[in-house]
Amino acid sequence: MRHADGIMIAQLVTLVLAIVTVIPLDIPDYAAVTPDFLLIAIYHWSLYRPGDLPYSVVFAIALLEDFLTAGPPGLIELTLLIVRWTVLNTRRLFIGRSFPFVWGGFTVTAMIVAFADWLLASILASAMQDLRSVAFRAVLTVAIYPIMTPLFARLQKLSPA
Amino acid sequence: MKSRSGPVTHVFAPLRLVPQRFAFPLLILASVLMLLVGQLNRPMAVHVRVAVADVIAPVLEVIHQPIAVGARAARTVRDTLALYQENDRLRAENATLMQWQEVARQLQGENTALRNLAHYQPPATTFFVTAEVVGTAGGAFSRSLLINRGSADGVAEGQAAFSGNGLVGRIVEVGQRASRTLLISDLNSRIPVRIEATHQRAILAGDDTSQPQLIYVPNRASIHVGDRVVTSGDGGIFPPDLPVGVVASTEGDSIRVEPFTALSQIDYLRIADFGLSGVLPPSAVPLPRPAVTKHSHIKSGSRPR
Repeated sequence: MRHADGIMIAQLVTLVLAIVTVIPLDIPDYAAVTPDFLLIAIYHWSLYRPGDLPYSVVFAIALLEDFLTAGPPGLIELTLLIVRWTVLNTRRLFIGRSFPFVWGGFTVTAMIVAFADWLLASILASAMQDLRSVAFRAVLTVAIYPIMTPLFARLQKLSPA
Repeated sequence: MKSRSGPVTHVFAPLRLVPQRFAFPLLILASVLMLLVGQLNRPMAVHVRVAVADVIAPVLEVIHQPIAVGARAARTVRDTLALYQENDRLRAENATLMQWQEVARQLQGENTALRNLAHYQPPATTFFVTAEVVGTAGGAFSRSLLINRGSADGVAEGQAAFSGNGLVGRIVEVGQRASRTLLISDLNSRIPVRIEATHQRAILAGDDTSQPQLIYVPNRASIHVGDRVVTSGDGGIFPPDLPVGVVASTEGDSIRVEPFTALSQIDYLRIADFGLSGVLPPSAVPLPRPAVTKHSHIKSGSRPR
């Protein structure tokens, strides 16, 4: 596979995930706890192939997600840009380490993101938001990380780590 | 990667990184600006969002098709497995309903007679549009649904959205082919309601949970679990007596209402226009059309004077 194809796949998969996030599923209360697919994709690619999803693409896809979900505009963009920056600056800790270690790093990231999102959304709405569904969403996101990332890697014919 | 490691790329590599270096602070700045502008100028944010929804809704509709088929198949299997119990339950329910039918017939006759006596004028006809739910909010902070009908189909801001047997929300953003429904469970939703039996008024306030709360209740003790909650018609957003839900719990200091429709599993919505426009800004209310057009002529003719 050529390098450009890999980049295209990474960007296309992330774009599709942004749309998948808003697809209604026949599961009770799914909408409120839909896993943060974009967070998984951006964490994964920033870690293993940082060139595939540049800041501009992260911003563009987050923008689309923002419009689709009708949340406070700008919040998703801000969160995902900071996540990418953080991952790029801590990559050295994670490259070559075992999967549980990387997963642990993702867990910490997802929890911080969830809490920060909750805090900002509460400030913007000037009312306390429901912390339970935020926490549950973060747990689901962490839980599906080990299912999603091998798929990403297979799509790009890469092995993680 | 091998082909890129020539001496030329060594020279140009730092140059290529320049936009990358500035991309981060610039985009962060853009996000923060969006946060501020989105807060200060909400109508603009809504305008952009609706334009994007218009483009994306058909795409979502296509993606949603196979998922809907799968969900239907799963439901069929589940229903088949529960066929016997369901049959027993329905028989019992049918027996009860037959008795109610008798009561309804009697009341209908009585009602017709009384209406004739009082020269009652039925309310202006409402128009309905059926829409498919193509998108959810997909996040923890808002409870809304994206539907595949917009102003081209007659959907307008402030209209009521129903599913099955109850009110589920109202239209808040309208595009050409897509609109967004704010569910009654959303943090920003406030619906004037009353307890059907006692006529006690309250406001149904969403708080992002599946059971919205009753607030501004003057006499808490008179509200019991199982009381039916309907719209009160106050504020002129909805007509009175639209079914909303039943009181589910009265514990502690919050009274919670279980909506008649499970808000998290809605496939289709019915959008109803009752010709009311309370609480909307004047700009959102469509001006009456001149009476020369055929359409408005018929409409104004059928309205009770």
